[in-house]
Amino acid sequence: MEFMGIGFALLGAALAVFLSGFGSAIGLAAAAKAATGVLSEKPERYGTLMLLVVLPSTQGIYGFVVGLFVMIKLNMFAGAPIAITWYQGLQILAACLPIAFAGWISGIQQGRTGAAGILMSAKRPEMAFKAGVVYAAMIELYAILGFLVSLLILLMGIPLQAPGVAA
Amino acid sequence: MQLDKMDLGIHDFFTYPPVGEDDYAYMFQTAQVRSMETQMLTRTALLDMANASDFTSAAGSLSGTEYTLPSGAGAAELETMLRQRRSAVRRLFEDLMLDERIVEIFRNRNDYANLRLVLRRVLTDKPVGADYSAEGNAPPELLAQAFEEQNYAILPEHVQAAIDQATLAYYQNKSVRQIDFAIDRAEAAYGLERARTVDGNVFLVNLFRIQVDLTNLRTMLRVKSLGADPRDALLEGGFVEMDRLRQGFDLPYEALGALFFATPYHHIVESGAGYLAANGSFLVVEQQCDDYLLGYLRQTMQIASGPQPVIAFFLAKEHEIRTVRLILTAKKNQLDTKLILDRIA
Amino acid sequence: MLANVNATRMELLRLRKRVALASRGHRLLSEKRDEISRQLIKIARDIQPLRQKVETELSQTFRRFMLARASMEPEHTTAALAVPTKKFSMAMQFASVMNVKVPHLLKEIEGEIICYGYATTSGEMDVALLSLERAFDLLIELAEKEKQARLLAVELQMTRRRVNVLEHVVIPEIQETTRYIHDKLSEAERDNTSRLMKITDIIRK
Repeated sequence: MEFMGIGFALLGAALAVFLSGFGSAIGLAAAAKAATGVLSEKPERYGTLMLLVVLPSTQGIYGFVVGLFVMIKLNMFAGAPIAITWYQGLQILAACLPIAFAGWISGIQQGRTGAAGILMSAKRPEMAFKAGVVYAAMIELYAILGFLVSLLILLMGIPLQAPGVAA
Repeated sequence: MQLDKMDLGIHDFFTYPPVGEDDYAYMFQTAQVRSMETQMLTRTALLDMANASDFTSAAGSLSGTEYTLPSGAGAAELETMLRQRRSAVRRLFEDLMLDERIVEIFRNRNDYANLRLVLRRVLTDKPVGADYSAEGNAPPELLAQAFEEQNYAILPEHVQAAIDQATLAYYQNKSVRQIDFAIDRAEAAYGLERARTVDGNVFLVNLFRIQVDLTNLRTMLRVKSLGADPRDALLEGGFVEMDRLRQGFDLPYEALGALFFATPYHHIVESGAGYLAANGSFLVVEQQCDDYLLGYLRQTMQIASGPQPVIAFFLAKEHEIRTVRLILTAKKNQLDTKLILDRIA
Repeated sequence: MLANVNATRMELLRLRKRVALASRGHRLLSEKRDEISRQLIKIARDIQPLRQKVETELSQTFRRFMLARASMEPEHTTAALAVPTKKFSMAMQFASVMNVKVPHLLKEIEGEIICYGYATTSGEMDVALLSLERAFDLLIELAEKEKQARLLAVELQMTRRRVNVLEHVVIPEIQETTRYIHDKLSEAERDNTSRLMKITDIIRK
């Protein structure tokens, strides 16, 4: 049973990293394609468009941080992972899900919103920050909420015993 | 759901039919055309050109744009420049379009134009010639070869079908016009058929149906003013019901507005027929048709990304080239500014 | 003419006949001149409005055609106008006005002037071609009238010159010659009479 606990916990870490990374990658691709399209005609817009392109990359980072915390919590870096029950493993898995899903969906949508903002800024450069960045940043809020909840559950919600003590 | 959307009736939309869904594969392409749209000639620039005192100052107002003419350029240089611009726009469209089928659909227009020319020549026993457009799907050499050797099997299937229909129509009463009517019908039907096979085709299908409608409206007014035979002239597949158009043949110009009242084309018909009755000219109806089509193309602003903005940009650009040609030719020949404004404004 | 004329009674008679002929010719020719100028004025009066009409139709055709051509794609213009359906043939006949052969044009027009479909062409093309069709008839009539006027004008000029020559040169010259011959003859007669009187005198003595 004790291997199953570690399994669940690692599955959670993997989900958090790969789903939010997945969302970030798709979102970044959409925004970057739109930006290159505009830049091919108007290279002087590079600075304004940069922000809109990089916004969706945060979700991947959040997922990565959550994944990292899971591993820290399991004491993976110290060599000997804590043996946890399958019940605790499931808890860690659940803690990872908020950022996994929020990161995934919001990454894609943020990328598309950013891309739409980039398209709009092709015609109305003065609105690029006001509308484009602000709208895309609103989506960021929900990625942050997911990240916070994941992190809080992980750090405060799941008490694990000190290393070395048998479960 | 998709099927329902494709077969809209005339009363299922208010001003413009829907333009379809987003397709995020076209992000780069959409961005590029959106930036290029900002460099298109504005309405003010076109009006300034139309109001310019003569050709030189009208051409001068284009300097700095892609339509710059060398000083002292004549009609031939103008035509060459505009043709170059048009080929450039077509090439750009073909580069940007990810879906080859859509490119093919638009290249088809040139195939049918070539076909009209070659069939007229062949059926009236004139030499085939070589002045065919190279911007179609079937290269001009292939077309000439097929007709010289009477070996139509080397041509694409739909072209063969159009040849058959046109030849048959011609021999019914040996009228050259029948060739054109048959090819017009074949072109419209094939365009619609192909458009339905493309993914995310709502926009294309609606675009072609609008084009059929606009052609039919113009045809109706032209047939009325010529007192010509209305048979065979109308195209199938548009939003407007055939019965309504046929009814239009028999009504006086003033009653046409009421007949089309419930359709989105009400304004086109009413102002176009009014101008036709008063001035004996189709300028306004043509201008209104262009406006309506451009209005539909402008609806693609609603979607963030997809093939629709690219197609819309391409067609708008072709329209812009025609407008520049119209204004500059009119200026070159010292036509009334009012005529130009009636046509473009 | 005066120098080498035989002052004989024969010559006098001949000249008298010629002057009568010349004055009859003069009268006839001046009548002809008046008639030709009447005809010419009539034709010229027709030409003016006809020419105006032709010019308006042609400029209308030109304007509409320019607009049509400019608003269509060049390929479609070529295709629409490549093989015309209108057939046009002309024959010439001659009619005689005051013995002047004037041409009369017979035209044969068949087929519709509009030879293309509707989908890819502009309505302005229809307007242009119909206007051209109307201009054609007028144009032929105008050409006919103008040629007639030109021929009549040439004839008028010639007749007028003939009348003038008869009036101012031929008739006065002949009249002068007759007067001269008459003078010569009466001189000769007086000469003869005086000689006879002299001879009678000599014989009487």
